[in-house]
Amino acid sequence: MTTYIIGRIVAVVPVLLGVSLLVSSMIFFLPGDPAQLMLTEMGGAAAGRVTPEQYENLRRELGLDEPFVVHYAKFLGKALQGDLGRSYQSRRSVLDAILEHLPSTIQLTFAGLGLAIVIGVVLGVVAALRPNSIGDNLSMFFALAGVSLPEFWLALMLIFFFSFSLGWFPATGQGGIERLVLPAFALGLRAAATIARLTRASMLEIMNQDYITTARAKGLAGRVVVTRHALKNALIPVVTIVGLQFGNLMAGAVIIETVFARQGVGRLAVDAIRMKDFPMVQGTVLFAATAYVLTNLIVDISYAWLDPRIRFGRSG
Amino acid sequence: MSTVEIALPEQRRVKTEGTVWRTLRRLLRHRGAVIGASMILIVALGAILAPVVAPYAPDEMGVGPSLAPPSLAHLMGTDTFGRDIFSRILHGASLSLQVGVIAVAISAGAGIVLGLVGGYYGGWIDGILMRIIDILLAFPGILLALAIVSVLGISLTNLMIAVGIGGVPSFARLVRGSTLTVKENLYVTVARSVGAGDGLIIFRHILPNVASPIIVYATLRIAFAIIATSSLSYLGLGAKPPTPEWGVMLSDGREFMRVAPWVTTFPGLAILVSVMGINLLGDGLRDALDPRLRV
Repeated sequence: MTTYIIGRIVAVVPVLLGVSLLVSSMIFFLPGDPAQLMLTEMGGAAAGRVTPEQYENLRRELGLDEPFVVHYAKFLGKALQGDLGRSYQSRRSVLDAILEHLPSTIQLTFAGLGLAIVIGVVLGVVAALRPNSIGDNLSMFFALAGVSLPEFWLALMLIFFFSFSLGWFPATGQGGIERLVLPAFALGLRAAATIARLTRASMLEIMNQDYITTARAKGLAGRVVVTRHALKNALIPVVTIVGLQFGNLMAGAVIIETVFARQGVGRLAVDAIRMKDFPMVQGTVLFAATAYVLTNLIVDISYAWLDPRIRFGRSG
Repeated sequence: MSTVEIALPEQRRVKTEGTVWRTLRRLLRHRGAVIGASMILIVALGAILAPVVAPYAPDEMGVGPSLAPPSLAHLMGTDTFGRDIFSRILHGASLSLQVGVIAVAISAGAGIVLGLVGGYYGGWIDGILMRIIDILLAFPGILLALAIVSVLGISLTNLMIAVGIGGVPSFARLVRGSTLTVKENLYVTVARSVGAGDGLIIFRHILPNVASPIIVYATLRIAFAIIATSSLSYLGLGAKPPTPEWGVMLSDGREFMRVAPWVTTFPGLAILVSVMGINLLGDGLRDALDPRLRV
């Protein structure tokens, strides 16, 4: 078990190094001169107010005056110390800005994931218990709609019906559970649909196993068989995709936060791309990818902990 | 020697035709696939016939009153500039379908080559390719596309390329996995023993046998690409107004949702119909091409 965990942690290191390498090189792939581009975006170059000193200062700040190897080494060294540079728009520390916007994104992502797991598992089980029944068909239609609905449009429609027409929830902003319900639902529906399909498939397979027949034969109530014997095992593959879904939700938050005007990291990234604020873009992208890799690491380790075949078996 | 060379391709051709017809027959019996294909057909016909069928030019302002509700004159109403929404949706259809197909062609083209090469050759080539793919997969969902757009600059073409590149790692991984299984088959060993080169083996013997999962995944991926590009266009990171792109139309209509909900309803429905049709067809293809995957 310990060897397994250490192995997983060691495997993550090159991935994170690769991610930081890609992110730090982004600025070198830009067509044209990034410093010039940023100054133009600020309106300075157009007005002819850019001095050569300003230009040189920005190039130095972005690390463009050095060879790439030096640039990357400095980038990595600073990032490891929590220094992601300064936003070129607000002159704020990128990390401070991210940390300030983070709670809102975490709240939204977890609320979306929670909703997705509850809705997905319930629908999947309902569908699997009576294959081809009305319940199955309805659940699977819901799942199909869930993967086919664009999140941002679903979000707009939710705002229209539940905020404008019914007045049940506020349309935008954050703070309080009433401002979390609609965004969490809009964000979580796609994941719910995926989880529902997987739960159904996994349940159907398990319900045909011998030990389920045995449990039935010895006279256990259907409910006990389903919850104790079947569901527990059926959920193992579901757990494995939770990490993946977490990443999708984090990326989806980029869209949902903008639609609901929430101050999250996703919105920070979108605004930064529009403003050509590269240090902020790099910081948010690096932060999100690192968070995703580390979350998957945790999911992997906890999965190993849950699965006795890995816990007691061969390591690695 | 010559008899072997002639016999192999002939056998293969017969088998391929059989597979195609069997798949088509199964698809026609698959209720979901037929419904999905019909939905796609409607959208595609709308896209192709847009110049003929659309009552107005997509960018023409003031063809009706501003924000007029749906009526016989304007089937889906008009937007704030008095443009006919129905005409704009028809013209947007070809845009969305093209963007979806081209983005997936980029993902599949690069992904298939990388996956085949990695899976077939193994060793250090595979090792390096897979490490790179692991790194790219560390950017979840649309985040990779988002990062690429920030580098390339904001336009619909760049967004399409970004979504295409964003899909390369998952394609490569899928193809590599299938290649690893297929290359162990006897016919690959036989082909190699009669002196077939790597290129011939990869493209004539392995590729056709890993095609099924690629076709299914590519289909489902088009649906994702359409959603991703319209979402990012909605955020202002893709197509720009006045392009009749569905995401842009939704973003235009957002302000007026309270008074003119049709402006935001119909473009969304158009995305939903296209994407749902593609998803239904993709599920049907999976059932038809590989019955073992059926649950």
